[in-house]
Amino acid sequence: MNRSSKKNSDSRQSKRSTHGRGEVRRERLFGLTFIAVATAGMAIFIWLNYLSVRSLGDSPSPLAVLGKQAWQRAGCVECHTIFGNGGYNAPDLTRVTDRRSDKEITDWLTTGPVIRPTTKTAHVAVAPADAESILEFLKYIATVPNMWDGQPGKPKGAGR
Amino acid sequence: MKAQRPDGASMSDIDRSARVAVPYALAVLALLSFQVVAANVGAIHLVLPNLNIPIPFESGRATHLNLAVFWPMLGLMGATYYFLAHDLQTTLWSRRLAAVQFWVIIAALLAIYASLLLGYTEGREYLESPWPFKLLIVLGFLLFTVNIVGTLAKRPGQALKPVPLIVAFSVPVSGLLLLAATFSYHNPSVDEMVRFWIVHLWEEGSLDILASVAIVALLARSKGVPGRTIEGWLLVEAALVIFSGALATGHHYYWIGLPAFWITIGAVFSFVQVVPIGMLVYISFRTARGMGRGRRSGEGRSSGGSPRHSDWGLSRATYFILSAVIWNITGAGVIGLVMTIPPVNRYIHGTYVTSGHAHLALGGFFGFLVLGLVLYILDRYRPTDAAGRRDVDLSLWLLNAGMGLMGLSLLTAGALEVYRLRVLAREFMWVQSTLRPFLALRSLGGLIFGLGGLLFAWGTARPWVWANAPGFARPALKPLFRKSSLQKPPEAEAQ
Repeated sequence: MNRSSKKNSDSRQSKRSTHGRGEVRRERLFGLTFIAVATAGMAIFIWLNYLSVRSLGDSPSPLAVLGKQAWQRAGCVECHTIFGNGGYNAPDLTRVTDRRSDKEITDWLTTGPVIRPTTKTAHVAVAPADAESILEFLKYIATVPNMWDGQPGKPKGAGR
Repeated sequence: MKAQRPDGASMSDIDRSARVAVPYALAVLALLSFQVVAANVGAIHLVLPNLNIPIPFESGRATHLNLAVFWPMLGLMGATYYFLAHDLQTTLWSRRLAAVQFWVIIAALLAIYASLLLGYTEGREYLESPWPFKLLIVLGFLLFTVNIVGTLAKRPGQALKPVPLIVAFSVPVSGLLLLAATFSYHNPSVDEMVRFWIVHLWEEGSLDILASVAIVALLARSKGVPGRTIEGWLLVEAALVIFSGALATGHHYYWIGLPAFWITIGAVFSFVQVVPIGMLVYISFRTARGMGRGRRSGEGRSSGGSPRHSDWGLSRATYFILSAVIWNITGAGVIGLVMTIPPVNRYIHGTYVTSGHAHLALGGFFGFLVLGLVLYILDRYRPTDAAGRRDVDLSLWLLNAGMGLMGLSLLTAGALEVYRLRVLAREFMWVQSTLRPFLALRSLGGLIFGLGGLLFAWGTARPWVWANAPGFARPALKPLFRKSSLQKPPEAEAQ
C-alpha cells in the first residue's frame, strides 16, 4: 500500500528535490480549481432556478394562497402527497379535483370521517372557510403544468 | 476520579481546543436516542393504526424527518471543529463562540421539538419548524462561519489546503441554503423547489463534502496512504460533489411544475454524481486497508500529525465509517441512481421505494458516519470502560442489521406498491393494506436499529455521565446490569 502510493506521488512529482515547491504549486492549483468548479456549479444551478421561477405559470389566487396556508396548518402533507412529495400513507392529491366533485371534497374536509385502515381515527376536520380555500388550492395544484398524475399506469382522468 | 487516557499522554493545546466537539457529540447521542424512540412509535403506529398513541401521527412524522437532518448536522459540526483544528495544527479562534453556537442550536432544536410535539407542525416537509427557530439555526451557521474564518486567519498559508478550503466553502453555503428554505413561499412550485435546497443540496452537496473531509481526516489518522495523496483526491471529489450535486437537484424537480429541462439535467447529473461516490469508496477502502497493514508491520506514517491514541476508538470508528460507505454505495449510489432515471422515477416517485432509499442514504450514510465520528471524538477524550466497549461492539451489528432490514422491507413494500398502484392501478387504500406485513417487518428492523442506537448511546456516554462515580472504568463494573449493584467498588468502601 505504502509503496503503491509513493509510486503515485512520484509519477506526479518526477524530482524529489523540487517536491516542496511543486507540492505547494499543485496544492494551489487544486484549491483554485475546486473553488472555480464548485462556484460554477452553484452559479449555474442558481441561474437555472431563476429561469425556472421566471417561467412559472399563473400565481395562485389569494384564496388559493389562503388554502395553501390552511393545508399547511392542517398538516395534510404528513400523510398525503402533492406532486408525489409528502407522506406515503394516503392518496396523492395532485389531481384530486379531476376525480372528485367540489362538494365531495369540501364535505370530506369539514366532516372528517373515520378513515381506513383505522376504525376509530377520524380524518382531520377543518372549518368550512378553510375547506373552501383548500379546495381552491387543490384546484390550482391540478392546473400546474407537469407530467405528474400520480398514476402513470392509468389513463388520465379515469376515476378510481 | 477521571478516566485516564490509555496512552497517558497529556493533552496538547490543540486537543484542548478541539474539545469543543464533545458537547456536539454528546448532543448527537441524546438526539439519536430521541430519534429511535420517536421513529419506532411512528412505525408501529403505521402498522397498528388503531393503537392509542398520545402523539399525533403528523407530529411524530415531522419530528422524525426533522431529527434525521439535524442530528447528523450537529455531529458534522463538532467533527468539523475537531478535524479543522488538527488539520491546521492550531487552536480554534474561539472556544467560547463554538459553545455559544452549540447552545443556540440546542435551544432552537428544543424549541422545535417542543412545538412539533405540541402539534405546531409547519406543513412543509423535512425541516418542519416555526420559522424563527430555523433562523436561530441559521444564526448558528453564521457563528460557525465566523469561527472558521477566524481560525483560518490564524494560518493564512493553509487556506488553500483541501480540508480548510472545503470547510470554508461548505459551512457558509449550508447556512445560506438553510436561510433560503426557512420561509414558506406562496407559489407551491417555488416552495417545493427551495425545500430541496436543504434535503438534497445539504445531503448531496454541502454537508456531503464535510462528510468526505471527516472520513478522510479520520482515516488519515491511521497509518496508511500519505495524507497528500488522499487529500488531493479529496478536493477533486468535493468539486465533483458540489458541481454534480447542485445540478442533480433536478431529479427532485421532475414533477413539481418547473420547466422540463430539469428532467434532462437532473438525469444526466445524477449519473455524474456516482463518480464522487465511487471516489470516496476508493479512498476509504484504500486507506482502511493501508491501516491494517501499517498496524501489522508497525511502520508507515501517521499523516494526521497528532499523537496516536487508543486503537479501539479508531478501529471501531473505522468500522462505522466503512458501514456508512457501504450504505452510501447501496442506498445512495445504486438505488438512488436507478430511481433518478426519469421513466423509472415516474413510477417509483412518492412510494415506499423513496422511503427505503431515504433510510439507507440518510440514516445509512450520514447516520453511521456521524456515529463513527462521535465515537472517535468521545473516545479520544474519555475512553469508555469494558462494558461500554462491548455495548458499542454489539451496537455496530444491531444498527447495521436493523438498517438493512428496514431498507429491504421498505424497498420490497415499495416495489409491490409500484406494481399494484402504478402498474395495475389498483385502489390506493387496498394497496396500502397489502403492504402492512412489510411495514411490520420494517418496524422490526426499526426496533433492532433502535436497540442498537440506545446501546451505542449508553456505551459511549458512560464515561461522560458516570466518570466521577467511584470505580468507573474498572473492569469490575463489566456486567453492568446484574452484578454491578452487588459489587461494592473498593473506593466506596474506603469512604
